[in-house]
Amino acid sequence: MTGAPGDRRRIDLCAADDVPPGTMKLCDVGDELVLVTNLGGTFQATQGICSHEYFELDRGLMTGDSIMCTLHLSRFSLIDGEVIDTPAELPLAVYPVVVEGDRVLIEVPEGPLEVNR
Amino acid sequence: MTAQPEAEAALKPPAPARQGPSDLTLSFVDEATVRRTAGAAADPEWLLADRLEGLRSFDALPIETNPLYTTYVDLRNARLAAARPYAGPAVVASGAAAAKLLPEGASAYAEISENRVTALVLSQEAHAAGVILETLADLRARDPELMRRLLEGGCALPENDKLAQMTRALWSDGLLLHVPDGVRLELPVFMRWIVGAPDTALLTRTVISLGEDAEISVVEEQVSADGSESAATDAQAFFAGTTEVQLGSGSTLSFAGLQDLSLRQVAFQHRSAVLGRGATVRWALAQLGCRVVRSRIDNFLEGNGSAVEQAEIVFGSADQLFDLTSYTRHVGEDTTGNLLSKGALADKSRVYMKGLATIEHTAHGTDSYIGEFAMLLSRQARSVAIPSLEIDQPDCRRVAHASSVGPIDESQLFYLESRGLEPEDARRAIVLGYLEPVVARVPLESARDLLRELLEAKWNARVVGRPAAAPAAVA
Amino acid sequence: MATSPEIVSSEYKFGFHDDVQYLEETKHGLTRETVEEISRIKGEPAWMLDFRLRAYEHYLSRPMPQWGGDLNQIDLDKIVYYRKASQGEEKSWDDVPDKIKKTFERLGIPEAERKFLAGVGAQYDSEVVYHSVREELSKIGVVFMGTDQGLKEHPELFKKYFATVVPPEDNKFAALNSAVWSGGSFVYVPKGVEVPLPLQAYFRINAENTGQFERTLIIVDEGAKVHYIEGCTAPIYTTDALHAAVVEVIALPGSKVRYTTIQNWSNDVYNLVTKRAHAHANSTVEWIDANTGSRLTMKYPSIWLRGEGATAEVISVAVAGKGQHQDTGAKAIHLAPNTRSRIISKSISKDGGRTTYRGQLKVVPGATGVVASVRCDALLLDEGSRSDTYPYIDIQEDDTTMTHEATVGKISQDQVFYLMSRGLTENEATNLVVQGFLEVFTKELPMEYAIEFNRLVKLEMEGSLG
Repeated sequence: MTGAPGDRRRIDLCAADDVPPGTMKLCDVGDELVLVTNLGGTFQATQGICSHEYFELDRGLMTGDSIMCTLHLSRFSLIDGEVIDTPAELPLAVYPVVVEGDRVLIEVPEGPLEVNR
Repeated sequence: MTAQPEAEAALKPPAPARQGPSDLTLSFVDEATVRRTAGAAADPEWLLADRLEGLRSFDALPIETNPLYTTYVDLRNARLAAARPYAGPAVVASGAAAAKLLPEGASAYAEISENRVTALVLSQEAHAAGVILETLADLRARDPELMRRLLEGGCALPENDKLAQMTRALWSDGLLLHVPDGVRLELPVFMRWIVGAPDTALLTRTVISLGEDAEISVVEEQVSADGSESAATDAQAFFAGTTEVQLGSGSTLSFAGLQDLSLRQVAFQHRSAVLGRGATVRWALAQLGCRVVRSRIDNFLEGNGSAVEQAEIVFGSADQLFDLTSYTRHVGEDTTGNLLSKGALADKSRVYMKGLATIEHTAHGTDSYIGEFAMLLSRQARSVAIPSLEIDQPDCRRVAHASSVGPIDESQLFYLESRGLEPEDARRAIVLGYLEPVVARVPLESARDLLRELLEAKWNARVVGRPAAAPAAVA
Repeated sequence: MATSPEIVSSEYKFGFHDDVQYLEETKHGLTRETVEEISRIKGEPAWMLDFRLRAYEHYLSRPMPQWGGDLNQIDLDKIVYYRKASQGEEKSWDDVPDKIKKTFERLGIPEAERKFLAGVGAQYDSEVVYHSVREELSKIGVVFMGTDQGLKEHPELFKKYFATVVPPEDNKFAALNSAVWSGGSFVYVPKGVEVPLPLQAYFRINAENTGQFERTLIIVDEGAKVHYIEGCTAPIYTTDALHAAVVEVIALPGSKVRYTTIQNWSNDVYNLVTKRAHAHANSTVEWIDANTGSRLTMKYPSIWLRGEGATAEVISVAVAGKGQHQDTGAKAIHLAPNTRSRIISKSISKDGGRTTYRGQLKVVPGATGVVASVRCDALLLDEGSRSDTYPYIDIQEDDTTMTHEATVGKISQDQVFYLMSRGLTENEATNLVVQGFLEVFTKELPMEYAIEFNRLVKLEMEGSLG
């Protein structure tokens, strides 16, 4: 039994009820922001700031399983963070989600949160 | 417990470096490779210096200098880190000049397979008229001064283009086609490139010079060594080619280019034409293959009365990306530019049609038209058209541009079906008909037939039908 | 440094109260303190101060754009970022340049208006008209007031929509405007209300409305309808070098909004405007836009079609004379299915003037059934004039129908000769042809504007406006 994989930590983001299906919520994690989305009942978590230029993604437009940053219309997949539409070049960092009871958490390695910018 | 994370870290392979849309993954564009290439060909001093100049420009330039287009570069499907260039000049196979290699209906034939010249032959008539078709290596041996004049300073290669400057630095061989003053050949010159060995990079230059009142047509074909069957995930191959055309006054060149490389390949093509007084160039270009192809055409209408007729077609499938840029500069008086791009895009393919016509102050009496059209055949296909004009001289005969994007015309479909065609056949007829304008301009019958076959094969090979459920409308 | 502010409440002749605040002009240049002071003087809530400061930081971090017009001549340090209201101003009619006075005359501007437009008179008779208009409007629940007032009197509505269409990060000058905005209009039209007369910013003019950093916010609720007109054909005489405005329009489902602008800034002004609308389901937004003045205008009215069935229309005209550069265009972003857009752009360059059209048409995946068209025509009247066209057409749905056409040319000599053979002078003939060229625009204007506009174009053609 190897025990906990590497050194990882769980970060509590918000209540599951805060994010009904088809909606999103921007959560504070120390200095960073995490975008929580609910895709038909499944929670996804990505970095909360566009990888292209600084802009909060909750000010963007969510369509199906993608998010469009309304500053320059870059689009990203909410599932794997990949760039669907330029001008963004880097994908969004995606964090594995864990639902504990009625809370939504992410499980990430120790240290600063990975963010692409 | 502390030992475990280290072991795990050792077992886990490092995450691959993320490639952004403007990242060029070629790993051999450096001084060592330039010197090796120059050394292998025993280049004279001036040529080595020219190559190094190209390398300097390459290093200094961004992948796209025109602010109009910076958002529309996407090289992410080009994975060329393992590609290695051919260093030395092409080896000319013995027997390459055998007369029997000349195809029916051609006045000259050059066939290059990777970096071996397997055919290089002129017809009697062409030879007698003084037409020259030779490798650049042979040119250097025969007339080093001419070679220097034709190539030094990067000549017609755009100074502000990173990829053109790369070819200037690292070309390993190429072809020269020279047609003397007054010579008019009825039968076309045929050039065929067979390339695509995995993890190879071939960079070549083709120089075409037409004397005054000369007239010739050229058909250039680029095909894959292993046919179009290889999977897109296999090791890629890279091809960079130039076509540098100098047209003496009153001369005419008709150039048909058929690109049907496999989906494993990445190609950068630079074509340029500098036109003297009353000269005409006709480009008919078909882009069918490659995973990623970036093409740039520069037309310089310097001589009064010079003209360019350019027609490009794209037939995209799978996740191909066609990045097509065209710069036409009207400098002389009464020049004409007629540029047409048409794309039929299936599956997840994408085309960027970026045409810019610049009418300088000296260019009185210009006639300029740019048309960029796309037919999208599936939900995930994409077309970006940027037909642009910069006009500094109002005294024009006509300046216009047009663009349209749409699906297959329903009324055309209905008409054909009502004539008894099955829906699938009707759709094919419409799409192939849409692309026919370029096919018709190919000056060699066998090449026309080949193009029609290739288009039809592509139609049959594409994914039919639409992906499931559409994404919901934006909130 | 600023003297202590005096807050004076003045009662106008017609019982119309307004708190007018006085402030010595802030010193030249923009600092964080200036932004704080502006917010303090206006008595704004904390969130607005915070918003302004964040926008200010962003403004500092953005470089000057190098595309479009030449902005390198603007000296941002010389600009005064906040001016007191016009009352008590000591400018004299004698200071007004002759050519401006002459223009007023030729355009037939009434005497009283002339002084006002020249920034000389503070009181203006149109206050009368404004007052009665306001009364009528409030009866049907329509809100039409200055943006500063809107923030005070309708804080929730304001906060809900403010900066949702044009965020400060959008571009450097939107950030600047967001930091120092003052003046502009706040309009709210309740559900189902059709406003029977065009709302004219003109009525509300005090110095702030034509201020450099006006910010307009227009919210049209479901099923409502309104026409808003801004600007006027008379040249605005101002010593301000920079006009960086932001206009945000929210057209909620089923509503219809038309926003007409006729702007003729004097020829030393940089006119940089970000105008954008969000059109929700089944709504219609129309930008009717004329640009004839300024040294450099950079303005690209945009419409984001966010809801199914929305419609967008942009009809714009640009005239560039000597020393002028009109860098304009339009953007239609189709984000929802079954949306339609139509863009018509007409431009005229003469005497070395330069017009540039920059357009963007984008159809994103999911926006099925879109019908879009763009038509841009440019007329070059003489050598030395210049015209550029840069349209971006980005289509990602296979059932889009999109057409785009553009032509550039000079006036047909045949047309001119024909008209001359009918007794017109060459000037008159040329003018008639130009009017025909611009007709698609002028026919959208209310009559009195159309008349003034045609007169303005005529004067421009004759080269009598500097």
